[in-house]
Amino acid sequence: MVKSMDRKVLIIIPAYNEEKNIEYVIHDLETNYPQYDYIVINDGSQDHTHEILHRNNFNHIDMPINVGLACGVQTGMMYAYNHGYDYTMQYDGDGQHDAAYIDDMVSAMEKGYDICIGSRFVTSKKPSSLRMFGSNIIQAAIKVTTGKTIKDPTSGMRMFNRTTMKIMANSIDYGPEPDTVAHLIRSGAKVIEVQANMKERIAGESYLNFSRSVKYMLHMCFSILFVQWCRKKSHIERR
Amino acid sequence: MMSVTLRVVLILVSLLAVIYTLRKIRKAQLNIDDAIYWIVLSVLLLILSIFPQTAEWGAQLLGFISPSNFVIVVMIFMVLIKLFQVAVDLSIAKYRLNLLIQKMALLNKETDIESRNDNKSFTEDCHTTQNDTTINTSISDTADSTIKL
Repeated sequence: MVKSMDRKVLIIIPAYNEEKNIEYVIHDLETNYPQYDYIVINDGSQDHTHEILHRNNFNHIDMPINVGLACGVQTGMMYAYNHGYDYTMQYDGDGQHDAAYIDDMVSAMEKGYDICIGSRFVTSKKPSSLRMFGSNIIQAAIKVTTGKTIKDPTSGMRMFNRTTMKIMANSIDYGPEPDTVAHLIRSGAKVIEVQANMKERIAGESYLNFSRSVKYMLHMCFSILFVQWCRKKSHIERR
Repeated sequence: MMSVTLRVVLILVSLLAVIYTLRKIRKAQLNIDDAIYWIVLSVLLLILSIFPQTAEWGAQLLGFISPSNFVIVVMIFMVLIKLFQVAVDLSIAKYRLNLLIQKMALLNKETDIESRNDNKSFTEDCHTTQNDTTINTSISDTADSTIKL
């Protein structure tokens, strides 16, 4: 058995116009968590993100044009898979995520799970706000279709092993969203949640305003409840 | 009965459609594979307008009140089928475009690492073997220009 310290972990950091946050986030990772590798996916940013990445010699991939979060993260998955990483995870470039929880997530993955979600609501209760109402609906949709309870389906902190990484890297419509997690559970992937608290973003506006949140929620529910049934299940390899 | 006006309009439109499609193929702006559908559709329209009996026969068979309704329903179905086909093609095209962008980004990343390593070893060689400063600068100039290329 290999110790969790020896596992190669790649942190994928999608960044689109993150000049205000990215430097702080990467410096934090480089100084406090040098045991993890990271890669920034610069998704055709129009601000100074590219110059900051270049000047600091941060490990990064430049997307030639803006391709969107799903396609950018998938590029990171391809990179992780090609470079033989054991685990890979998505990590926000705006300072919301805390790398202190990655070790817990790796330890959880070592028990034989395929996906680990850094969840805000494993030990603490979900607050009752409009956004959490949406989260509850997605949680219910996943419960209905898979029988599994995912307490924080919208968390962006998701860790994948080689098996699920390969699927995420090579398939169509496997974006980093709750419907992908639901589909992978239905395909036989084992998912675990680990408590991970999140911080307020350092600077800049969140992409999700009210109407976008509603649209996102409806899109996810439709995908999980209806589209799911006609999708071909992916093959989860067991070692 | 279909009105004479509708018949005339149909004949004109289908003739124009045939001519337009053939011209686009001639100019190589439309793949022959994709063009077949439009040629078939415009020929079908032409047949319907020249021989309205076929429309009447179809309308009777399927229980339409008037043959013109039959013609319109047939056309809407044809358009819907084509629209769906285009949506599928667009999805595939989007996927392939994303895949190309991803491959390009990853390739850029790999070549960037390689060129940086090459450059490092090259300049180290220059420093250890060359003592003449003029030759040294000229070599580093060429090294810089090759990287830009």
